[in-house]
Amino acid sequence: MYALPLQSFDLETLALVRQASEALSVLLGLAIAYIAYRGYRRNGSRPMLFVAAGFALVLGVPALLTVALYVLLSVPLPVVNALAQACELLGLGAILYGLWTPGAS
Amino acid sequence: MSGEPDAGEVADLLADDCARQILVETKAAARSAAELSDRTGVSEPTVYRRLERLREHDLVSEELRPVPDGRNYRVYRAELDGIEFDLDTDGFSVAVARSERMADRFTRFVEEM
Repeated sequence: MYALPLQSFDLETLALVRQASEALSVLLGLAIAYIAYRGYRRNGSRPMLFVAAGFALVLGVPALLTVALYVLLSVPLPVVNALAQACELLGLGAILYGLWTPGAS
Repeated sequence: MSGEPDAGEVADLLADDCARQILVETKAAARSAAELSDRTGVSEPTVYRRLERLREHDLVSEELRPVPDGRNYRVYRAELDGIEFDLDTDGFSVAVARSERMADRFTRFVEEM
């Protein structure tokens, strides 16, 4: 057994990397939502509307809520987290509904 | 897609100036029939007739543009990268090269689940 050299493990850098990756996953989520929305517009496919809304709710809205409510309006964190979680659940439900409901064609 | 396109019909369609111009004008961006009429200097009814024929061969796609508090209108987009005519002992056949867009692939993926 040997101890992990904690000093060489820069926690601040780790936090920064984590924040950056969080921002990246929001951007990727919104990109997928946009592609799904284009699919809805181009093919008139209603399921794609739910998939688009779902991705936006799972990955985009919680981040926006956190920034808007916690950082700007200083709403208590547990409340913000609960709202974000509700958005994620709603979003996953929307994606599942989009996959389940039959398409137009 | 409506199966193998007929080589004669596609050649006939491409021989038409207006149809070719429509394809060129809708290659980079989706355009409405009114815009196409402006750009090609051809009357709107003629543009609509050409669009109808192009759509029959899936060379052009139609998309609804929703307008808040207004009448929705349709825009058209070229759906091909190239057309190849091949000659063999059975005659000519046509192959249309298309770039399936990411949004279409995603739609197919979702709808086939």
